[in-house]
Amino acid sequence: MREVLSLYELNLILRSTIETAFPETFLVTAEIARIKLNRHCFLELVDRDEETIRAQMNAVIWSDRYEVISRQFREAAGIGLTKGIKILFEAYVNFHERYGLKLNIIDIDPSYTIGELALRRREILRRLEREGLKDRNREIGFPLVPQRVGIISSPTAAGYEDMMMHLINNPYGYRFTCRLYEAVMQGDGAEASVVDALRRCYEDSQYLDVIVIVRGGGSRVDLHCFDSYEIARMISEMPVPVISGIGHERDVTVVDEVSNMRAKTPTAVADILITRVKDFEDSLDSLSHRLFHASNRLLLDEKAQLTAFIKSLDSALRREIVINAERLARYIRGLKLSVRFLQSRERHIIQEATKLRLISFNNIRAEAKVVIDLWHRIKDSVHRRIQTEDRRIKAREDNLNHLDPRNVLKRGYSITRRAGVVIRSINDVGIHDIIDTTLYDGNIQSVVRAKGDQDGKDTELQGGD
Amino acid sequence: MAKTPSYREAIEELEAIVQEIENETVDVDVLTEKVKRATYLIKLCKKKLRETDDNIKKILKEFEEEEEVMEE
Repeated sequence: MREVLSLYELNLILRSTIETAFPETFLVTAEIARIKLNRHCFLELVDRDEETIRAQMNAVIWSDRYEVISRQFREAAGIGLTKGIKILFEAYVNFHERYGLKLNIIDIDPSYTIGELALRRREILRRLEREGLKDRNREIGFPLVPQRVGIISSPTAAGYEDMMMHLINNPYGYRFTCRLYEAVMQGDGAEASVVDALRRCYEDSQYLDVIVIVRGGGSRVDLHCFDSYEIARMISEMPVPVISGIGHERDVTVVDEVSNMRAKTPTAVADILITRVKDFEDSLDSLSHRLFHASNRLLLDEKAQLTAFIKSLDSALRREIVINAERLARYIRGLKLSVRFLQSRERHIIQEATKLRLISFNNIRAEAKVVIDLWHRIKDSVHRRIQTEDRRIKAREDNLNHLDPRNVLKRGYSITRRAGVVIRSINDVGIHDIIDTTLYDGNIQSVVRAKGDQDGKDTELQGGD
Repeated sequence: MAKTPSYREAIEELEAIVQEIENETVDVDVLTEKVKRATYLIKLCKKKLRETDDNIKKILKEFEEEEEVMEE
């Protein structure tokens, strides 16, 4: 007859058997599938082969241990004990007659989780790299003036508030046009919610200069939901740069890796935007400064050129003036010398003239007398001479009267002319020529009948009439 | 005046003007025009930095209204 046990009795057997069989602790790795804190921490642990769960068990961390374990884990791993992470823990296998089989976790090694998270992160990054997505958002040029800002955050998040205040109250008075794309930033739905917000941003991207993802508070808990392939891919495909403001001092998530820029806090995100705008305004100011100086210099150069020109003109004129002045001075000097010379000449002439005048006055009287005497003498002698000559002319006249042909003709001489020409020889006339004979008191015309020499012998006889 | 230049267009034009003046390739006669244009661009940018872009505001508002309609 087989012994019948009550459930309690059976469970007592199981408990003592398990306690005997496993007196030592085990080191186990598993993924937290579910976690619930109810004074003590209750966990559902799974072990996956790819996506299939191949083992599953409940575990507990008693409240006295939990406080220490969770604090140490948080400090070392940077995240809290949350669903989805893999842990390496030390546990007893416990069986309780009422609560059944359970792992009693007495310690968790955070370095394993850190490694696991890093591994997962690396795998996501490697995949993004393979697909050419990893650096895509980083390669987008950051806008000169990121004034239109799309914000992915939770409106109740302290970080969002901080950033908005920082942006609005920037000391330079820059205006930022902000639009909030609401999303759950922690917990189970965070990944899907952020992906959805990114999708809405994508649709509005032509009206946005930049997209920022900010997470409230400085907590490192739940950061691992940003080690998400889906979120990373959305960021990579965004046509405008994304700034990640979810990071923490030590942790770099996949989102940080693929974003165009990352900041440690939401306020730092605002600073990036403000600084960027300030840089732009600084370059405006510097250009303005350069503009002022360059145009000033240009004007000064022009003025200097003009001044130099005027100066050269001035000196040229001065030189010309000096030359002309010298020439003029020389000329005046020459003129003065001439004048002086002329004056001395004049003086000399005046002296000479004066001298001359004196001499003249004395001499002229004496000389005049001589001249007058001379004149009288000349006159007398001329007069005398004239009288003598007069007489001589009279005498000649008398002689001449004797020679007058008329007087000769009176004495019986005559003049014979042929055709007005005086005949001196018988040869001058021919027989029958008409001749005129001038006598004392008139003329006779005759015809030559014959002629002969002084002996009376006819030399020629002509005519028979 | 044609359409308002973007920040980038403005700063590129400014840079070109300033360089031209710095290289002294600008005739003094056109200097005034250049400086006037540059000053206009600087002022325009500075104004834009501190003024809300009304267009964006309007567009964003339209989006919000659309969403409200869709939510109903």
